[in-house]
Amino acid sequence: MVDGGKRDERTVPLRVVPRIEPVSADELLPLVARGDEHAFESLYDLVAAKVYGLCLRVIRDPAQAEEVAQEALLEVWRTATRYNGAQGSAMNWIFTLAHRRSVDRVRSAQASSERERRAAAITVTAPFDEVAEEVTGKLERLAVRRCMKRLTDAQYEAISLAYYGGYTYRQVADLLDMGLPAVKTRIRDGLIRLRDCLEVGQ
Amino acid sequence: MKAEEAHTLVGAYVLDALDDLERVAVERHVADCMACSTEVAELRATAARLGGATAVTPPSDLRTRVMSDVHRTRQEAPKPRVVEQMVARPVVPRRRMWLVAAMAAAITAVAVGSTTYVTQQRMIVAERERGTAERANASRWESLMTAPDARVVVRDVTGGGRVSVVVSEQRGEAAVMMTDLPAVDRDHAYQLWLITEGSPVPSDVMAAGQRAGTLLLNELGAADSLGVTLEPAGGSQVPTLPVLAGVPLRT
Repeated sequence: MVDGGKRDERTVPLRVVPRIEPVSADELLPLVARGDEHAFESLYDLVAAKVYGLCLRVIRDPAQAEEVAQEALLEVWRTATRYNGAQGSAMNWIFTLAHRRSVDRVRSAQASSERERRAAAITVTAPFDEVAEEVTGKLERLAVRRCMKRLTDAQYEAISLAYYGGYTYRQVADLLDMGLPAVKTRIRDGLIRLRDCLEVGQ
Repeated sequence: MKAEEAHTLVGAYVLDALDDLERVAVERHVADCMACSTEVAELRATAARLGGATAVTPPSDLRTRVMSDVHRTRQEAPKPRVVEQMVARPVVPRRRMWLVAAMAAAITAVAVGSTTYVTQQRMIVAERERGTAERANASRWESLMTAPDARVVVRDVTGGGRVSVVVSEQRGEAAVMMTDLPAVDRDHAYQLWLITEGSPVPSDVMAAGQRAGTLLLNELGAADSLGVTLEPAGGSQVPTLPVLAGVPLRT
């Protein structure tokens, strides 16, 4: 089927695939900053599913999530020149950027409807139950899930609503019917616990 | 905002769960506090792990669209050194520097997610709505309004009122209308700033106590945004925080 003979249209020719070295976002980003589109393609393949997944989680509407993911990825290209490694890993930078864009998108929508806010709050309490059909980074997901389970219920709710729900901590306080100082503390303490569990920065 | 108060907000800060002014306050605080910047970096990285834990295969045409966007999009110039110094050496209190960075942050923060009117039709409606504002120069105004690339950008001002800007990048001109700004005493005045890559340059100062006005800025130069602050009467050389409104001048 490979050599000689006619291929029918549905046959995919075999070809030699070079051994793929795992390349990290940290290695690719400096190349992207110098205008290397191939490096950007590799970076896309590395991060697109996670960026889209994050946008989808926060925004929920697939069409809008796709739009925001597209904007965020283009922003990665545009501003790769401004990325400063001292401020964190390339992956962190990309997720931070995608998250901020997603939040901006939902905030403008949120302002219009209190009702939507309540509806979203009900569904966001079980964010890890939706398993995507196709996922990458299962281990990472498991690690995050494991560490999220170690939070108190109040920490878990506050962090989920703020990060995945895209709410401000004031809105989180409203939703959970808690005072602002309590919400601030739960978010910060919860993140510190997550940081230690995920062994970030050690 | 006091330092302790800003510090308790670092968790909410890394989750993007603050409003714009709180965000600036935290960034100011972090710039002066080495321990905090380490904490913020670590918590930011933790938040990113939450972000990376959700992967869903995007629609296949997204790749094509992103790559085609990339192919026709110019990358930004590298960051000017002044901002990098601010980030890299937070131990030395650099009052002026962090003011600049905080201002830039405020501008960026405010710039995202508001309404930009694009069409001529809406532009004219927006202008009519603000018809009470005085016109500094009617003919310049008209000519700016009809520039092919003219856009109207409207932003709310913290505390009340709004600032509406008609900007033409081609002409390097902008008309600024401010209406219903919060009341000020005779010792204070609203001031405009032209901001280029995070560095504010003082622009026009309104009369002390004045709450509305229109003016034409005819030399935007490389400025990418416009800021409004409240200053002592007569204006300042360095902006006094908070930034009450930030208006992006470029698309």
